[in-house]
Amino acid sequence: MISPAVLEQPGHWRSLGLVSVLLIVISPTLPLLLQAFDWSWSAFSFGRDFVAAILRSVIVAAGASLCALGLGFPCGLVAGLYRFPARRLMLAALAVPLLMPAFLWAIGLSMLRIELGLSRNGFLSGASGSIWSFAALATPLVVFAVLVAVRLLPGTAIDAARLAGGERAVLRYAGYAALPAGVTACLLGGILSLSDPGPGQILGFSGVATQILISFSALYDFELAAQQGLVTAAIVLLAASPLIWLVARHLTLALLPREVRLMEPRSSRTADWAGPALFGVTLLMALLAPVAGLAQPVLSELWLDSVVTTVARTGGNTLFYSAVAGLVATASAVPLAICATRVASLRASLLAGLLLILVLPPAVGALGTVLMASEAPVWLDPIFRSRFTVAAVLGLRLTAIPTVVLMRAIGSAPASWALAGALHGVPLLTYLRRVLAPFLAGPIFMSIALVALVATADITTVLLLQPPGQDSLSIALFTVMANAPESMVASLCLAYLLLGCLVIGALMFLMSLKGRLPRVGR
Amino acid sequence: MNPIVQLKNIAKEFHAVEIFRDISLDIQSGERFALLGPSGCGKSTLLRLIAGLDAPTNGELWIDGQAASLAGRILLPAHQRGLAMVFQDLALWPNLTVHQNVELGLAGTSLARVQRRERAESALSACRIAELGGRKPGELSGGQQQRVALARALTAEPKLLLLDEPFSSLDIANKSHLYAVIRRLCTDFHLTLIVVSHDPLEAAALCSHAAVLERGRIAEIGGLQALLRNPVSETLREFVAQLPVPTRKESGAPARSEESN
Repeated sequence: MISPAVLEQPGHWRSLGLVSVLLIVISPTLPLLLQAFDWSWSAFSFGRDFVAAILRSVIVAAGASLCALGLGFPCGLVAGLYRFPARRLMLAALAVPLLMPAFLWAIGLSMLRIELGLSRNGFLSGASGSIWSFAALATPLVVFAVLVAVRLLPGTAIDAARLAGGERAVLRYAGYAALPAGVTACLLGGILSLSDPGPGQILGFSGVATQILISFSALYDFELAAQQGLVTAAIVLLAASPLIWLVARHLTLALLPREVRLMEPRSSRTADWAGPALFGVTLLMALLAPVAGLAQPVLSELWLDSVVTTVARTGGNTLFYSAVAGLVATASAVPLAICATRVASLRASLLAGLLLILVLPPAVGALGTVLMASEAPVWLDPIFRSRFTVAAVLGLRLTAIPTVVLMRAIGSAPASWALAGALHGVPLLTYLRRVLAPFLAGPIFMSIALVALVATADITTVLLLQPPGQDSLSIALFTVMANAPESMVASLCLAYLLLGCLVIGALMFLMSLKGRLPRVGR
Repeated sequence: MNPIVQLKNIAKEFHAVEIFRDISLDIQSGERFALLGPSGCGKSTLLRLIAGLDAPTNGELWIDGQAASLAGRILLPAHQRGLAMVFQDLALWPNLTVHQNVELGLAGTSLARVQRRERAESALSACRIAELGGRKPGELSGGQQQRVALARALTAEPKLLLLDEPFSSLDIANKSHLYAVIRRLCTDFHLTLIVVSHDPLEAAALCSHAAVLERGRIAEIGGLQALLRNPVSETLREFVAQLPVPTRKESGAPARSEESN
């Protein structure tokens, strides 16, 4: 009989399990990396266009990062430290752009430009429009990272700062403590923008991700697309590696439950107006302006029939892709979290590895899968050339999300649960089935839902991998936007937004239920 | 009389840091024994070694005449040692009801489901919480949670009950009530009791014998009343020096002389 005590003890099974599952997680990326050694790189010419595209993408990424930090940092700080009217509602609203594809916001901005009568080369187009679109996604990332960093500060430290120098000292202390989280989040937001072709396609900005998509889908040059993907991946890895190591180390500590009284936000007269003002500006940029752009054409004509038809046609695939991606990511994350949570060095290494996979351009994984599919025998088509392939590749790239959620959950389970099981002779499987699985049910469900939402925003993977004749809502939108009437595109975008909001609302409701559950032990 | 627990030159290291060494100790069957010492002296680690949750780095550990652990190896798994333990954080499984918590404590036995249910009910009755069987641990008070943990420990009908500072978060009224419950259960079930505590008063309320751990060694060992009357270890001397005079007389500790002030 295997005792549940093994879950709390070191052992080679942890490293073995970790390596085995990680091999599966990186399997879509690996073929392209290995193939890179066989290519004659001398034959590959970067070309002026590609080098210029890289430069343009880096500038847009830097711009989006700076905007996100400038707007998101004060918002996160104030929301972490103070209560103010409609705080929760505004935070919930700010979570919406985080879970939407960037191209949806770009469509909104493009329509806003038309409504405002601005020129095609104006502020809401090209690089500046792309910066806005990407900043709309990176800003909530900064807000929530800073908010979490502030909320994890010990309450006594905040009290001490308040005693020493009032609210100014509190802001300075909390700001200093949350700055690394804020800077890291804004840089990650910028790095993620490098591999997203969506806004560029819509706003007339040709970045590096657009070049890859053109090479594969328009020029049908797999090798060129793959090499461009790898060059982009190398740039991303170079920029992200030190950052990711910092994030992984920070998360490794932050994931552990601590026996300290955490700070609680308090009311303040200044925050009563400053909070809503700051959030007002941020929401205007990150949510209201793009949504206003989408709403205007719909007011003149609502394409309800088309929306219903498109949602009905693509709903099945969209649900399948997102649900299976959620399941695949979470199924990979459960053994990873079990293997790594109790060992600090494994925790840090695992998080660093998964975050690196997350920031890699999705094209690398998708093209790697195409490469595998081209080598695989026909009977393996259900694995390499099916809807499942799309969903699995989407999910494996996002494994970092459920792993963080589950490591936090497993870390908060006292070691004594498994030890008590060991003392009473409870077999490992019984312990997993009756104690650990029900305990992890909430985080598992939350992980599946989060990955499902985020996966719908990844259009590159679906564009490159989806089997002929299959369609998803985001891809339907992406493909009709160039030819369909503006009001129809806007109607579809708003339908997408509405569905996303419903899912976020349901998740928040479930989280509030969990918050009301009684606690056990000390 | 054979000792139920025998520790022979037990040593334990964590990451090359020595927690304790050369610990030798005999605990007789039916004895109520306290392991006392300041925080971080290794008393909980010693209890984990006895429970079989960890192996000693050196030395031998015998339970009821059987070799249970030898240097670096666990010979007798935790669930075959005939003991039960109440953890410091109680280790109640939060998603299971009180009854399920106690019943799952019998998973290591070959009892039929009906018998398990009966045993669980009888353990809950012995701890006087039979009416709480359908509730989950999170819905209980601290004292009730303690009783559930005790019931789960008793349901396996152990010969040896280990308590790892389980009362540290309870108020005095709840504590004294639970002391009485544990004393009664020890008598009714003929249990040997080992309690880890940093509080000599708590130990005195439950135990007749004690060992004081200091700096990785047993600083003194013997009858608890005698130890409190003539403390040798720093821990007990400091404790006795701080006792208010009437309490010291009640507890059997020597009256404090003016010099000691």
